[in-house]
Amino acid sequence: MNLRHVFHVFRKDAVELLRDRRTLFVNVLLPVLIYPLGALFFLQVHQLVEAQKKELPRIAVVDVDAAAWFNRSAGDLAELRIDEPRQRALSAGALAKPETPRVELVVLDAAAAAELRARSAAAAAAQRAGDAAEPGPDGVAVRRAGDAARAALLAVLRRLHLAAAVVGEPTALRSAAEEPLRVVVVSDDAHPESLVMDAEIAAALALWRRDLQTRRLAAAGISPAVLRPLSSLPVDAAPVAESVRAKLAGVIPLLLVIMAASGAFFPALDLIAGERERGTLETLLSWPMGRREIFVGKLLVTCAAAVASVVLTLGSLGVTVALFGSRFAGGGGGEGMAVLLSIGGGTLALCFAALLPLTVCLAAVSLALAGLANSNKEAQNYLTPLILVVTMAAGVALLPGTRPNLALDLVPITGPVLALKESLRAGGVPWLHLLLSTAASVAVAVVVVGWAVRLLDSEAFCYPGLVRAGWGRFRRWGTSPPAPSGLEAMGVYAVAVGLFFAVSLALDPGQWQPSALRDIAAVAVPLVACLLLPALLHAWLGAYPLRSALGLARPPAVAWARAVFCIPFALITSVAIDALLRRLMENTGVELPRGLEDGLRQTFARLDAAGGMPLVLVCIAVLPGICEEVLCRGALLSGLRRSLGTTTAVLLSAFLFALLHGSPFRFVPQFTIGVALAILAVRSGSILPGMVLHAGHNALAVLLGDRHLPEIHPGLALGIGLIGLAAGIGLIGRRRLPSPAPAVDTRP
Amino acid sequence: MLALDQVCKSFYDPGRGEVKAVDGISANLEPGVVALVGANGAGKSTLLRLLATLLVPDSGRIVMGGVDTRRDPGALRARLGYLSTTTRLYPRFSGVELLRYAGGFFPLAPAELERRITAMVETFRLGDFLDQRIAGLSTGQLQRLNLARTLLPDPDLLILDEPTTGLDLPSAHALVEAVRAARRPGRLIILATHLVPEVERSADRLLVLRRGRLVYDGHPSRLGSGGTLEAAILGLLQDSDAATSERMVAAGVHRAVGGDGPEAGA
Repeated sequence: MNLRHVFHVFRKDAVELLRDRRTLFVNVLLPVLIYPLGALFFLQVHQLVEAQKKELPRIAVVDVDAAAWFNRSAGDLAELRIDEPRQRALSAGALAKPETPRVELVVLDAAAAAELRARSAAAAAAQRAGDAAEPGPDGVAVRRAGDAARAALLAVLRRLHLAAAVVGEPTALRSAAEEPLRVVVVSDDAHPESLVMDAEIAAALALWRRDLQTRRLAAAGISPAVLRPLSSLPVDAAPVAESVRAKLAGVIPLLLVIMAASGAFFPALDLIAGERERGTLETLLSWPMGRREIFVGKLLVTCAAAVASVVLTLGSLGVTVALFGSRFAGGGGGEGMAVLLSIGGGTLALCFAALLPLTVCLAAVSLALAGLANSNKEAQNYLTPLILVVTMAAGVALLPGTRPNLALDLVPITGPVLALKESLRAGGVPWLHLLLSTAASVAVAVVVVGWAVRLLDSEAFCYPGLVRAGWGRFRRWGTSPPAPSGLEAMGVYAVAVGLFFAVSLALDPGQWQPSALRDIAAVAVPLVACLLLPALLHAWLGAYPLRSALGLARPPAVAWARAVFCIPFALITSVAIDALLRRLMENTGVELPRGLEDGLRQTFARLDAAGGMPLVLVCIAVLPGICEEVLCRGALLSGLRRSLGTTTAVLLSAFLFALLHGSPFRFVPQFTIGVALAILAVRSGSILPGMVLHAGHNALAVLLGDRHLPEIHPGLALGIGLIGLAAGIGLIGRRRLPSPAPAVDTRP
Repeated sequence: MLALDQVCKSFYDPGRGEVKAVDGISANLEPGVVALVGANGAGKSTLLRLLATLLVPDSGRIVMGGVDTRRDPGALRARLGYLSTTTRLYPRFSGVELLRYAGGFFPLAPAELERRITAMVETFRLGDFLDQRIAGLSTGQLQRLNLARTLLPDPDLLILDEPTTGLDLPSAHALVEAVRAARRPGRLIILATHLVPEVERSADRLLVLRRGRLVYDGHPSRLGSGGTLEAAILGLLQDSDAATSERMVAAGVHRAVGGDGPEAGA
């Protein structure tokens, strides 16, 4: 590699990027401005909200002497905080600004107080009755009565513009002076300030309770200290900054990774897709330098842009905390800055060192993906999901308790993020995890760079317009592609089978009310929509010739006869294998799985009831014959043949065909029939005879059903079946499906 | 200097199936001006891209100075100046920045590079807009700058694919003059063009392409000896293969390759 050329490309691309307003905006201006502007915006919103808070929640105190305990000073609350931690949480809101009143106490006139007293007493009684009520119709009636009482109380509260009220219950309810003083706290939980109100009421009641306790103890001549056998004082040993840092340990690496991925986004777009869109790629490729030098030069620029974006974002964040932190947290800005400072230069350096391979990896993936696109817009479509994937992979760090382990270290983004999280949390450096995850990132980056260099080498990269659109973009020039590659075919199969099982489960007749239409849909929809359509859609998108890609060609006339000839032998073969397996399992004591067989019988029965034997034959014989053949012998077999050769393709397609049926017990018979169908497709040059054989096999099985057949040894039956099948498929003429040409490597 | 041996290039077209854009072309090109003529879609651009190593032949060989370009494309690119209708310039650069950038890929000392840039500025009258951003230049200015960029490394192989496309008459004339002035000993200039008068005046050798095949390879004067060159080329491009062969035999052409093939194009 000529480093002079790499640097030359780097310098040119860097200058171009710096002159691109869009990249400057996204990679420089946005990171620098987003936090200060965001902080200013929130500050304004905060001030506006504060200005709106002039109306304090109104609380009425009726029949009890509790008003004095509201809006108490910070000192009173601090004492409460130490001894009653539970209350501390409740009054946390009230502690923020203890010098200002938090609620407005209202004195009600006699009529209003009487109404509130009556309604609250009714609601309290109804609530006690509801709590005590047994489940059942009577209980329901009691609870409904309670709801009505509460609604009436709420109407009174709202009419009086009250957020809450503390109402003392009649002293008659107390049987003795030692009984607790009973108050009813009624509140409008839908009030906008309900949290502050709840905290304030809880704090006031706690202080009042403390005062009553002290008085009663003094009256009895007992020191109040008796009731405080234990006093605890929470002391946080860790510095606040360190404690906050540990809590932020998962967030910081996540943010850094997202910033890096976002920073690489626009340079990747501009440097590859943009260059192609501007028409300068041909000029660049005509100059005397290697494709690797071009890619590495562009990769360095992308990495530099990503790192610059991260540094600018962090700097902007630091400045924002320093400038605005105190405005938000009432003096807590210094604390926020301390958190940032406590990260320390060493840890930050470690973060960058660990993130650098990851940034290279992200930049390489971004560039390579952008290289697949013809235009900036198309490249954006490829890169946006990448950002989502990166966010999800890095978001693992936010899950509580996630720590690095040897398996996660090998996951490219998750590994380094978890190692960094651990490093920030514990203060030390988990070297093993850091090295392993870095190695994994480097390995991915190397693979992606290698792939991307190959991409640049391909002619389609420079002249995408000359290569057809759709799936064709993945093809090379030189040879006509008659069928998809094996990998592509496997992709179609995976999608089809995934859909098939998902839709089959969703349409399972057991979940629905019995209906003829639903029974038919449960069988037909998965076959047609999930097996047939993906294969057809893929062939259409790729504009593959249906003849070679799906085997939808006219076969020689004799092939039809041979397919019909094979039908009974195929059935004999599958029944014989089935019988042999049963014997084997019975001999070895293995219990036969009955679930699937029973399910099949039920399906037959439902379809028979819905439309009689013709419907059963259509759903169980004709549709599988068409749909499964188009997928397994059409898309799958032709693609696999192109990449793996005929023999492997026949065996692998039969294996996948058997897997499709989802029954380990039926695997061997399906595999055998799959092999026969694949050979028939290859020899006849068409999947149509296979459809006849497949449908005929299923139809014959349905028609024979449980009829008593002549007893014959399964081994002998298998022999007859296999010989008949071999004769049928083997004696068909010499015409073959033209073997799809393998992909030709046209690179020098 | 540049030898083509049975060079073939096909690609797949959804409408037409497999298209042989270049179909078994052989030629031995020596320094001088070689004009490449053919109808749109005849395979001219594909052939020139093959020669520029931007494409790789499906079969056959292209040898420059004894080196197979498939083995070492860099060796050819180091001696190449390539200009086509699709080679654009970096819009965010100024003219002088572009020339410095382009020159940086060739083994030139800084002083030598500056000397050549100065020479190119004078030759192509780039001084008026040399410091302007390329995005704001006119088509004629762009093409002059592009030609200067192509000639800057003093290439032995100069490939020009319809360089006058989109230019007005004076600009096209100036560019043709510049190409003629670019002749020098040891330099092979391959010029794909539709300007027959220019071919007649400048070319030492004429290659006529039809449907990816070479239907005429010889001096332009021999083809046009029975009438005008334009009429002769038109005849070649429209004739059936049998008629082409007869016409060429009658004209005593240097070399001819006939035969029907599928519609070609790139």
